Amino acid sequence: MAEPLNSLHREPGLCLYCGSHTGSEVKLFCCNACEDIFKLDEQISSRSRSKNFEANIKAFSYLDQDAYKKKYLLKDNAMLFYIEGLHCSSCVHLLEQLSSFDEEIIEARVQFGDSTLYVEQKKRGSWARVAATISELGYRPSPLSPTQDPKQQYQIENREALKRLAVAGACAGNMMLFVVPIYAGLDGSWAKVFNWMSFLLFLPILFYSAKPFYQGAWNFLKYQTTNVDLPIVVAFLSGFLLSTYNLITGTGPVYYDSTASFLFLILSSRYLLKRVQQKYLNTFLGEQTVSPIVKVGDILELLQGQKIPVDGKLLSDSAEIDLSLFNGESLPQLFHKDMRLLAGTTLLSQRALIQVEKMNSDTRLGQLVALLRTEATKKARFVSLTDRCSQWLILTVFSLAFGYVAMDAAGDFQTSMQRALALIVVACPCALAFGTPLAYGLAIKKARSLGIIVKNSDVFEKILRLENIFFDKTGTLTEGILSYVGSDCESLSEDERKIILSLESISYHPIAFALRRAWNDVADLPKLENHHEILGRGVEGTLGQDHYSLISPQNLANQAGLVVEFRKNNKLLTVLHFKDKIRVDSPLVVSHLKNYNLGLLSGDHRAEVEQMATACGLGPENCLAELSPEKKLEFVQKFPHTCMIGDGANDSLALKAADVGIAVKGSVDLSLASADVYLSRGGLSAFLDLLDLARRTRKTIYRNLLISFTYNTIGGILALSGFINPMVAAILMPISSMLLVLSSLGDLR
Amino acid sequence: MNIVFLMIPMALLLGFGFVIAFMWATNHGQFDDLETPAHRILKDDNAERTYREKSSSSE
Repeated sequence: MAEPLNSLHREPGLCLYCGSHTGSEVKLFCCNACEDIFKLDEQISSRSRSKNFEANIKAFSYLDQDAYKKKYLLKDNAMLFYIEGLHCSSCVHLLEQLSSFDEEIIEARVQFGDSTLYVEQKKRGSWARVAATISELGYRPSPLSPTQDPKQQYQIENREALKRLAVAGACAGNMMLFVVPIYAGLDGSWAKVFNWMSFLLFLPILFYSAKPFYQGAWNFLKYQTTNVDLPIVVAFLSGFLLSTYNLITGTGPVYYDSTASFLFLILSSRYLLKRVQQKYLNTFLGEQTVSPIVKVGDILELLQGQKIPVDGKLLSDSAEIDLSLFNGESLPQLFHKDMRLLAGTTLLSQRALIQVEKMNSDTRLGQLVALLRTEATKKARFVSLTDRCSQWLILTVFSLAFGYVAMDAAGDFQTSMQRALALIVVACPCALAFGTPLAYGLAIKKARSLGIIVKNSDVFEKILRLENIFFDKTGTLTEGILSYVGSDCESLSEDERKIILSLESISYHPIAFALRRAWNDVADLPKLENHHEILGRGVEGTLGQDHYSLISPQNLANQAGLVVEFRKNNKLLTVLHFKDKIRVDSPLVVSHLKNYNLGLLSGDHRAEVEQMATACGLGPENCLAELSPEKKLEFVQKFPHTCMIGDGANDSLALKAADVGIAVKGSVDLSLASADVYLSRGGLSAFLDLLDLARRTRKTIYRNLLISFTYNTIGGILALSGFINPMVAAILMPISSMLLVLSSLGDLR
Repeated sequence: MNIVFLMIPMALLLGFGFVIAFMWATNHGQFDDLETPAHRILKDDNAERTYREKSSSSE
């Protein structure tokens, strides 16, 4: 904890903040700016612990159990946390100051790209305290075991790619130095020496940098999966073999430099695409494990707001559970003694005892996650534009080359062979291998600045072929949060509001949150006596002589939306109405998508779904209500070229099965693990932006293909007619690459 | 022209010295996180802590 300001041992005459001279022994600061910033810092670090702090420590107390420590502790008594809510440099600053909040903490370091925080503390420090401090600052920490560290997953791969890139770059660069004198007209034995130097410099690229391409090309042949690696390897190897043959026999041109720089360019564009794609993708999501000391049959005590970690039997008399992870419903459900609770749901009532029945992968959540990974929901194989073009290119180039040699068009076999090989080298699939990843990389970056996180570049192609678009209701077309609509009587008096709010002050029910949001200006709540929750019904309490209660009516049968009754001494005063509001932009988005076949898939009641659909401009005939996750999956699989937009675990199967699965803001971890796109911006208008971006990307890629087609045709004609030489190749190659870069940047920056 | 015999090895040596340095840096995680340092540099250290460290080192 920070010491209060006046107890600091201060050197007189020096500013407390910057340490420069203040000009007077009594002045604490040199200027107002320093004073303000110092006080701000002071305020942050001495932020008083809220009353939840002790409760938070208790909630995180499992972190200090030995079994947990064994699993999550890194060396040096450190732990890695995944931090929800990490936004900007101020967050980095605040979190890295963690050591000034807790004296046990030695160091805290943020990895911004992965949203992780590395905390190291002294041996006796409590991890529950650390986690509670982090949540005190407004972030949600979850510990990551060393194997879950997102960094670890990519680290080796990324470092390897970077090293291959560096070697290719250094070798290609040095090679160019050696060929300059040759292009300038150097001849004789020195030319031979320089060419041999190029050959030597080419070897590291051949045996080290180009390795991933061999793997890709081998997959092409072995598994018949089409990719662009084979044409790259063919062009690359024929360039090398032709040059080496010519070098040894001392006849004809040498292409080492242009082949090497061609490979370097491809490697760099791929690296760029990979880094851009990896960002923000945390594959640990959706994995749920329980402390290893918990066994089936154990009894767990859970506190309000905690996620239930296992499937189990409720031992307490009753409990209120938020089931939104499974059915997307915003209303909590009441569970009685001996009923089964599901892992992944959240406890809303004060406390509950649960007997463990199933754990980890045996739970319903675990099975759902397992199902997500199986072949059953695998998407149809997608052959991208690039892949199709590369097949076409191989076919054309090879038949041309073979035809040329077979016809012996150049007069003698030696020359024909030379020219045919030159054709293969020159007609390298530059636009495919280099222009397309670049365009996609830029598009993904652009999407991110629009608040759209795209997992895979295939999405940009698939999204333009869509025919059927399905929406989920709760949280997608609607806000997914209950909001207060109004009451039956004209307006509630200030006193009545105060009573209602103080009644709800102990509740974690969505209705309580809705009321607190709606009446956030009401203060000075009266203190109630006998104040407690009636589970599943509402809350009650007494004020003075009067008994007040806030209770949901008995028959909910034909109510659209949700109501609660406000009663005084058991006499109905008024009825409060709540609604899950439609997002403002939903009708607009729906009207923009008129050309598609739209549908609304929901787990909610029919009447409510149809009402919502009409409000958004969808016909009731497009609605399917009361669907289970498996039913949604079946439905999506029935149609070709589908897009599913939704959130919640109930959509995760459908999201995965759809050609394009889009998870919207507020969605749970599970749907992120299955979706291709995540809209971090509220509302569906981001979907329209994504469509627009996809169209622009396609335009850029087509233009790139046109440029490279022109280039390849000219280069091919020159090669076959014998006009191509290493110098022409070395000049043509960068020009075409430059054009591709400019064309992509111009459109997608 | 004989100077080339010296120049080329030297140039190569220099070039590959840098490649090796780059490899070393990559292996030691210098390029793993290119984002956080940019955020970190924007903020000053906690003034109070700097002050304390300063005063304790001067004692």
